[in-house]
Amino acid sequence: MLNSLTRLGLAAGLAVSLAACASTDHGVRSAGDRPMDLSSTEASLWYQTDEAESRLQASGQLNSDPALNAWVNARICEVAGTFCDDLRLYILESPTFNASMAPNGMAIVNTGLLLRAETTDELAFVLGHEFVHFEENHFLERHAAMRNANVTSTVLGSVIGVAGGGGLSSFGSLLAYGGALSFSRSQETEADTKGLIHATEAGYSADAGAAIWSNLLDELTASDHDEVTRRGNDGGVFGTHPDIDVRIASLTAQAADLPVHDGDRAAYRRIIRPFLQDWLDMHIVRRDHGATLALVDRLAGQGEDLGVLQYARGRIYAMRADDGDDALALAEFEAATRHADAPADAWRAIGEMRRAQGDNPAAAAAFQAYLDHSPQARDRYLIERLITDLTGTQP
Amino acid sequence: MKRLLICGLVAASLSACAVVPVAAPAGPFETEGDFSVMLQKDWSRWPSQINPATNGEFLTQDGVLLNRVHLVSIPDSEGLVRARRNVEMPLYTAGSSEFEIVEFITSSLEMIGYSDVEADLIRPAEFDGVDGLRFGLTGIWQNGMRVKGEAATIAHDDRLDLVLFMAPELHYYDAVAPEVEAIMNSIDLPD
Repeated sequence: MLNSLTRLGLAAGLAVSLAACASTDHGVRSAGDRPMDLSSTEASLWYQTDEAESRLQASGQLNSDPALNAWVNARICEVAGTFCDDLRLYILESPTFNASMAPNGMAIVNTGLLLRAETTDELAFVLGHEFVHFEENHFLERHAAMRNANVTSTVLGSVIGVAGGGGLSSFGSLLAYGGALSFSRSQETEADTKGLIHATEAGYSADAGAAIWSNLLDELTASDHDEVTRRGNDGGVFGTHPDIDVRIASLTAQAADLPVHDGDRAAYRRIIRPFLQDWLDMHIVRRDHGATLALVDRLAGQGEDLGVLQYARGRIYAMRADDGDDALALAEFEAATRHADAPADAWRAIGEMRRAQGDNPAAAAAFQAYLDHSPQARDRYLIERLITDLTGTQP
Repeated sequence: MKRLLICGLVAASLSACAVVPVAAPAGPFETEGDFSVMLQKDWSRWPSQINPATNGEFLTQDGVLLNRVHLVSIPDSEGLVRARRNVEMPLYTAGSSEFEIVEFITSSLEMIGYSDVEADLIRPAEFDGVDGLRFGLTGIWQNGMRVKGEAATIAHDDRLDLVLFMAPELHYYDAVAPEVEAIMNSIDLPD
């Protein structure tokens, strides 16, 4: 038994050593770098990301607001310095918390990230993090690590099989891919650490990294879906990212030696305010009511945009439709209408709820208020008919 | 017996392959749903079996990406989009308000490759003596092409009858819109 175990161990060690000989190191790039050898893997990956960029440009899912694009691009240039001209920003209308910078310079910032950041400092930290992936060629290195994992898995499986451990060959695959994912997690840690330095060198507060991760963790924890909640702190050996609480602890410790100052929440909110309702709508229709409520509550904690945020909260309750949610929704819609920024849709929602309750005069009044606030409403003809039906008179 | 079984299996396999688009000649057209319409022109009919993304059948003049008229009756608690594992689909609920019906259609379209879908000119309409809803649609197909559409919905007897027209904004929408208008106006519901 000892002999066969020793044989297996030696075989596995030999296989891993051989496979590990293939380097994953692509070094650090310089501004203006492009792959010179068109037959290289790097050139192939650039070509693929160029193709993806073309599809993205035609996708119809990009935010084309010139002012927002110019503002986010300016933040990228602050953290990317001399690489600014190598990066092309695309703001993707997607509710997920994400950003990326591909090897060819395609920089994607999701509106889900812009919505969740509370300060420009937090956005700058994430941009710094993604810039490190770009600067350090992490995408290419991760590709090489996965390629090595494929080779290691094959070699390990064969060697273990020959050494008499055929039943353990799938364990060899797990070992190989677990190694590649561990590599991915170490890249994320490096991107957090160096990204925070890029952001602070650009003048942003060092506590922003831990802050944005803490807020995201709260949101994931509040999710209605177990798999989303687990995403926060259950990456395990097969996770591509470190656990969020580990990242928060590490960034908090790093921030102790870096400049910290209060972020200007009001200034950041002014930038995203024109898009707030649309971006929240994208979240609400995903029907993860717990997570969306946590997000709305946090945004409302700033004490601004309460018309939009209370309307959003009302929609979440109305859609969740648990016992008592109708009353909560109506209270939120009515509270929303007391704020100057209330969307006209809040009055329509009140009209719908009053109509369902059979309170025709209140429903008609709310529908009329909706038309008063939104004379060009897309459903004006329908609303006018409803008012007629509810009151027996023309509006 | 064995030979019969083999013949049966072969026949079943062949017939499974035989679902293809077929002609839908001008004249009365019985949909797969609970209603019929009148076609003024010949159309190509794509039965629901060859429609991977949505429930119901299509009529098309130039191919389903260039113009499609979706004809379907959606029962309570079912969707326009075909169910997929672990993906939450918009479902029609009997008793939905007019606003919820519009949102059901727009969010269903966003599940099958359209983005930025918005309804406009939402208005009451009557079909074969039954109250319903008409509205226009705009959106972007996944290749970036701008599309327009028009929907006719009738909620009755715990189901939603739907005629949904989608086509690229450039040329194809206007080219087919008058014929689709006639189809919507001809909706004939069972007594």
